[in-house]
Amino acid sequence: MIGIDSRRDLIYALSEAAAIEHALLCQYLFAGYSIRRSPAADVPATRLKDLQSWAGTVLLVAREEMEHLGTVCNLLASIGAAPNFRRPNFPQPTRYFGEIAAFSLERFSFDTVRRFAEFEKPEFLHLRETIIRLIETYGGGPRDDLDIVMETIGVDGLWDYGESWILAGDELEFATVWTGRRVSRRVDELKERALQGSPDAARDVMARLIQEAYASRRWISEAVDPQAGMDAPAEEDTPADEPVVEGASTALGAAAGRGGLNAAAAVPIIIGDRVRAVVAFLYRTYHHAHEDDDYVNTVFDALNEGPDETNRLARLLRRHDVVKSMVATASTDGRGLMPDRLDFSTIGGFYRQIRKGFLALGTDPFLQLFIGPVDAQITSKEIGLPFPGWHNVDPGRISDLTSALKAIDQIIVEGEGAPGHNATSHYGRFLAIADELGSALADDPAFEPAAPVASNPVVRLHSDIQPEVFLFEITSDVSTPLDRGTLPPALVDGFLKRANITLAIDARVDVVEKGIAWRITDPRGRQVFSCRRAPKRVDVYQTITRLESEFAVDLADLFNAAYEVMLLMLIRLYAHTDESADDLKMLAGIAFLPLMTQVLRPLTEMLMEAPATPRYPALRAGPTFEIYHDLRMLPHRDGAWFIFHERMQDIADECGRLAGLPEASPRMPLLHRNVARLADRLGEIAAAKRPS
Amino acid sequence: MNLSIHFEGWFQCRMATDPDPTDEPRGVSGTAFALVTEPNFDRVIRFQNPVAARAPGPKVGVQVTNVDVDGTSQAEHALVGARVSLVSPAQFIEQNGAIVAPNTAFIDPLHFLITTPSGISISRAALWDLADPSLSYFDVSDELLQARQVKKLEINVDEVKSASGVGDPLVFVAERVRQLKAALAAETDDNLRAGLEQRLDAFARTDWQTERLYLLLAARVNYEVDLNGPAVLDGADSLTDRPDAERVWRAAFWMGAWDNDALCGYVKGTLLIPTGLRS
Repeated sequence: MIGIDSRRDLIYALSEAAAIEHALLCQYLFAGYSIRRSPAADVPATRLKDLQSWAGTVLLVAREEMEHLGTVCNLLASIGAAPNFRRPNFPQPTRYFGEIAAFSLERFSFDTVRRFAEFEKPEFLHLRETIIRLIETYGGGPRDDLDIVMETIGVDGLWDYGESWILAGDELEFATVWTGRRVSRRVDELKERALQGSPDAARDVMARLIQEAYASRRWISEAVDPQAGMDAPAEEDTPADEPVVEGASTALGAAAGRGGLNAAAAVPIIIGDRVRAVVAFLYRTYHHAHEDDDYVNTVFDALNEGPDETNRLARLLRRHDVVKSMVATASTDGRGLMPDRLDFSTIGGFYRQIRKGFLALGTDPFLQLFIGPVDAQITSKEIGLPFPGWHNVDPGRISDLTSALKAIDQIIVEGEGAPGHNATSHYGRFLAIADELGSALADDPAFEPAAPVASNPVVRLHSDIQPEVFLFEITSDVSTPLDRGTLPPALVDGFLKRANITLAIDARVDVVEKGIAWRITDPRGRQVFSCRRAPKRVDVYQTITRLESEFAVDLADLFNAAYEVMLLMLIRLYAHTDESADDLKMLAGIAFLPLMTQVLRPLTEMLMEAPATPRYPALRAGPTFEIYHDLRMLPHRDGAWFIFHERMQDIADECGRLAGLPEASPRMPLLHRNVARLADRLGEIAAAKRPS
Repeated sequence: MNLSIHFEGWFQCRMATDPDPTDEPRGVSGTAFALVTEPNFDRVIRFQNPVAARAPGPKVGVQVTNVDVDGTSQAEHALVGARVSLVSPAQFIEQNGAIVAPNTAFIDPLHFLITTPSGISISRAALWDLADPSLSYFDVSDELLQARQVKKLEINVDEVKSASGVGDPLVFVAERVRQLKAALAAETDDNLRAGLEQRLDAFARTDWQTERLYLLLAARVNYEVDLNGPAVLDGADSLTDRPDAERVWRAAFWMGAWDNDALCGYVKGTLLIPTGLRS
């Protein structure tokens, strides 16, 4: 067994997932609130409509990430673990979590929204890009390439059956078949099993998708209702060891559990400008826990066919990150006392690993996985939402394997989208925004969709961040022009190609150390990059923005204090012990609305209007989302209320002080009175807890 | 004797809804948003004289529809047809739960004004504390707030559908969409077109907000509030059943049929007023 194969591994993976969700939502909130939404002279009314729509969408996705964070905490609770609201401060470099892109607080821009889309990219698309890159690197016969494509997509995409068709003249011609199990198994038998005795109907679906994918040059997929034209087997025909997923939120999930075909997808393989082939896949239902073994065996079989020098398949597979890490894990994992490193390239892929872990452990007859009390979890009811799904928030309750898988599937589908339905997924939404914003910028290159908010604003240099975060390297020597204070074309080109950042032509270059280090600042100081010469290359770093304006620092401190109280309340809520129903209602009734919406939100918007530093008067601050120490649960039920009250009172007092300053926003008095009211309420609760 | 003044009609309230904060000026996370051509939200409940009224949309105006005395209808009563207003700036107060729990908002200030073309003007407010009329809702106890809060939230209410004319919310929305599309087809001004497109886009969404739109069209919240402030009875001497300015009046009304597209809702209720005539 590889990857997640113990409760300890699952807790570790879910804790990482919680940190990722938390970090994502902060980045989305930061970008979303930076979008200009008020009428302005330089914003035509027709453009304002787009801005309002984009802001609404980015913030909606942020709320769904909050839901995901809550769901992950419920999953943790279900297996007896504590919730996790810890995450690293911003910024964090690429590959801090798996292989995913850098975590960075940036204002809304084309680059930012493209980065967000990368976070949420469907694993299948990522795999496709990886494979095409491999084929382009190694070349070789098309049929051999397709074997590798089928194998890699089939295994990592958890498909049951696949075919590839290759272009011969003007016709697509059958090339290879992939069966989802050991390549040495008899194809007909597995094909029959995958198609559940309905090969004709399944082939019809597959053939149509192959033709559509070829004609449209894009990935085509759909969920298939097994009752529509297919002879679905009765439920009792489902193998006993195959968990049935009922009531999943997708069309796919709705079809699951009844057996039969669930989904089909066809992917054109485009090399250069031509569609060279199409691969298509089917899957029947969710998978067996022992599939991990099959997978590793398959990889080992392939690797053992010949020496690396002559076995091209082995070389290709070894270059594939997922396979590489799994093989490494399987061959080097010692006694397994500590968690294995989790390698993933997309967030959806990460959740699929967690899903497989739940499947493996949830069907282990010798392990009682779900040991946490169900009422320890927080759902729409405890949050106080009038109906499940209100505000797009509906964290489910986890009681068994079925509900755990359903919750994970919901997270995956909301992020990546379901087969054929990804327009409302996070990925689809971000991609649509990028398209619309790209068109707007093409029409008007000077169009500025966001307020001039600083990148990665911080009050303090925390130990878990670096003042400079490595972005990329440029292998050509650009040091001489930089020493002259000018931007060399190779550097501008490198920014665009490596980081999708368009450097302003009038960006300023400061020499920090002649021939060694330089600083590049865009005209309004919003982004600062450091360049340092290394042997045979120049390394480029993104820098943080230290808030220097006294008022911005005070506002940021206020924001971070309120944020900390909110997190402490959430920790207590999600790890509650014997709180009364009224106490839980009170915790939820403060931590969600109004603390998030009526306190942190106005402070965010005030920060985005406050000057960040006197050196760049136009540059605005922003919420820094700083965590000053490892937040732990306040362990004493009644004592916690005293701490909540004390902290909220401090925040109220500071709101009152800031409200009296000339720089204060007109919104500050209302904020002050609201926070004071919350402090009073907490004080009353604490007083009632006081021992007599 | 008791004078019952029945009123109803459409009101306007241009406000952001949660999870937007109370003072959100344009609306971004909730269901309500200001169109590109409109001024910022002001959260004021208007029974008359709407600001930036949206078309297509209901005609705003709340009137006295009937008056009865001790249960006997007075069809010719001088107040029938009178305008009913809330003295500005009446607002729904909830502050996302900072003041009172979500969906239990109270209205503050709550100050009814009834006027007729003939010069009758009757008004009275609900005050938190008669001894200190300057008190705001931030300063008073939860018990006092509760007296003003929503008494009951109801969904899918037949009376709401019939009184407001909304009828079947699905049909109502379909008709509104048809009207918006027709207006868009006829509109040539880019800015106004953008606003109509925003409204149509809101109906095209497929998330929780869409469900809320349908839900709120047939829902209502119920209020019962004592009006205890100083009564003003200008021109009321002509009434045979002159309101009693000393005793407390009661306003019992519901607000519902929230038409999120037009930022309007329907109000229907009764001002129960003791008169100077004792039965």
